[in-house]
Amino acid sequence: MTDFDRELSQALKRREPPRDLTASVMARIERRRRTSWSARLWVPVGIAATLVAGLGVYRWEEVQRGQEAKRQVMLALEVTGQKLAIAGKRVDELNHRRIGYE
Amino acid sequence: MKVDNAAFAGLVRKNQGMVYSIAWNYLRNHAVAEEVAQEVFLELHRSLDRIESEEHATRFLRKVAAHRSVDEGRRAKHRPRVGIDEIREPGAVSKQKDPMLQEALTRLLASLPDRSRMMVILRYQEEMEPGEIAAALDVPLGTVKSSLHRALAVLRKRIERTWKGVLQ
Repeated sequence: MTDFDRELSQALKRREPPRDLTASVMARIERRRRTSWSARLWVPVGIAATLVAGLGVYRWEEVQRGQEAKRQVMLALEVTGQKLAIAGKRVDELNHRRIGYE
Repeated sequence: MKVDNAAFAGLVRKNQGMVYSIAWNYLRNHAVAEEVAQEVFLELHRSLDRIESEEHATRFLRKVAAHRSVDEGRRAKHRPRVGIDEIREPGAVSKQKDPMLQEALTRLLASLPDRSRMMVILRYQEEMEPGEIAAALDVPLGTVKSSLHRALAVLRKRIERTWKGVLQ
């Protein structure tokens, strides 16, 4: 081993690590473990919330469709009523005319 | 490898000097080296299923520490420099043989290309054989041998120019 090698080994010798390095690593592992647990807990909650929201939207659309159908039936009934009134009026007119001839 | 918290802490304690020193010798920045060291141990924890023994863990840590340090150096453009915590207090007695020569060597090391610098660190800090360095850095053995030879020749030439007669 030459002086150069010795000086290089000395320049690159191992350093004393920070005193709390192990504690910091273990704390980060613990934090990550807790985060992953809470993430796992949130998955079913998220799925349930999505299902409830989906059902809500489906139900709301169903109500909207029912109301639209009801509105159309009412409109049809109104139109039919008007037509019937016109027809009745024409029948009455015809009856009056026939009575007049006789 | 099945280890509980206490055993893993023991593994960290046993290897922290090696991991931190690889990062520190490469990055020359206390805070960044500590962050890299923590990330390396977290990576080990994530990969415990693939680790077969303590020796395997040490090899894994060396490899990840080398790669992470090079990546961090490239990303943050951290060139090795003397940090404020590295400046000696006036009158402080140095344990080194020749502090000025050591500092000159450190500066010269910083001027080496990324991969060659890491090879020199693994060779002289960890006393690894070229074959082990090749495996750690995922490069062919021939590349390690030629890069190391070239890097050391450059260092020797430059240091001898300034420190003529001091080194044999």
